[in-house]
Amino acid sequence: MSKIIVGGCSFADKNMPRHAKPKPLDFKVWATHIGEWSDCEVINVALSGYGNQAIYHTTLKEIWKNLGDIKHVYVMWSEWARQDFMLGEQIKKDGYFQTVIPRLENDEYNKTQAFYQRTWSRPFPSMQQLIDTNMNYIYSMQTICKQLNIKYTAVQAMKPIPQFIDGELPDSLFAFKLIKHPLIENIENFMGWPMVDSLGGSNIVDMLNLALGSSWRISLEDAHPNDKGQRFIASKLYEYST
Amino acid sequence: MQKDLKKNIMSKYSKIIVGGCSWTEKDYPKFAKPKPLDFKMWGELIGEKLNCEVINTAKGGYGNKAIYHQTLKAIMNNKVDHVFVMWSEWTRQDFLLDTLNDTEYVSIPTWNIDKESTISNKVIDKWYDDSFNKNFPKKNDKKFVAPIPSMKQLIDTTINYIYSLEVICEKLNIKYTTCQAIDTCILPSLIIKHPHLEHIKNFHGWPPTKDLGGFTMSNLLKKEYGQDFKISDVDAHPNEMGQKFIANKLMEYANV
Repeated sequence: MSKIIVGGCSFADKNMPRHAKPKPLDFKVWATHIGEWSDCEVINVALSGYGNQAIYHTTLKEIWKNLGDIKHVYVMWSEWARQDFMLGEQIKKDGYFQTVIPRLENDEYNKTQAFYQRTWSRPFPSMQQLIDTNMNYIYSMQTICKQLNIKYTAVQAMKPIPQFIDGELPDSLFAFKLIKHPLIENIENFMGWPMVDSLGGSNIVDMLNLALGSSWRISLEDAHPNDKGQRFIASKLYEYST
Repeated sequence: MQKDLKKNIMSKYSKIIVGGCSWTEKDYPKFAKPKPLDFKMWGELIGEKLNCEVINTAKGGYGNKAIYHQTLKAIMNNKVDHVFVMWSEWTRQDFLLDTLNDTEYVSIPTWNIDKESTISNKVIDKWYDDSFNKNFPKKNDKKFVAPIPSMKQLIDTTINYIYSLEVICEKLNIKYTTCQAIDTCILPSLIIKHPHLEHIKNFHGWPPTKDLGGFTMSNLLKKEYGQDFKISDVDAHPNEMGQKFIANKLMEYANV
């Protein structure tokens, strides 16, 4: 049986429903649906919390392991602001990476800045640095799959840069910088590229909102896609990639 | 006629990119020990010979994640004829920080090979523990142990970076010449276990360890000059003679 390799964060993590709030749920995530429709075994290495460095390395590791038997690679990229730190294998059950997720929510951005200052006496990377490194990972994955003759489909799960500080609106600055990036025209097989509404693109959350209103959310306190949302994502990605 | 031919070859390049660590950094001689020196590094020597502009992205201390990102960023922002990369120790870990004095990454070594045995650096163990166990902003106060990455993890990620740069240069039709500057600091018995070593095709001395039939630039310098290629007893970086040797070797590999 051919295999589908899937990389991503909580929006693709097969165990995400078990951690749903306010209570655990049991439904299939989009990758499992695509596997069933394609009659393929699914190797889903997505893990909640992961940033794109972790997604890149964990997905590529599975590509190497399964070379010659891969029908398709799907990557649902995560927030571009997340920073992944590779730690030792003792934390294997949670993956090899621990990730900071800077956001306004729960003061996570300020906590992250404090961590950076304590550890390196330097601030968190700038938006331009975040764009450059994430574009490198996205372009590298696309190029490697092409080189290895593996079909590849990518999409952005949610807004690339969340709000860090109250009153700050990062969307327009992000769009302004992204449109000037030399790789913007070179990204292929990326559903919704260039991801940002003002540039004519969209991410998965945008697509869900547009098609399903708020009915795709697990609950008011859990903004991950529910069963209906997962089926919608699977249909969109399957249609785009086949 | 031979002179004209040479001139034609030399004038075909307008820009090259150079990536690496201190063995490549343009300003390294200024930091030489015991005293600052003034000589050209191999990237600038190649640029001089090819009569072209050199974009040197190398910085002292950089590990391979930083080398990958900085080189790729330069590739994306320039119309370039040739990319030269000398990779660093595979055990360095790079952390992206807001830019200071043009340095975007802070890098730390994790594992060191001590003669026949492998040891972990206790200072680094403590640094990891302080940073990631004590200071890391954890969700729900969830505790985790934070040891340094294993050599196996470091092999996987390093080979990903090396492979990525190779295929991107191939895709963009950019000539690419690469090798390992110094010891990988990884046990050869672990490198040989990587399932897809053969996918790296365009790397001189691959796999870069003598035990596996490969070599590093440091190996070649020692073979040629013994210890004479070093700046001094307290600075093991290549001196002017060493830099000229590297430039010639890389030009020979690049066939330019």
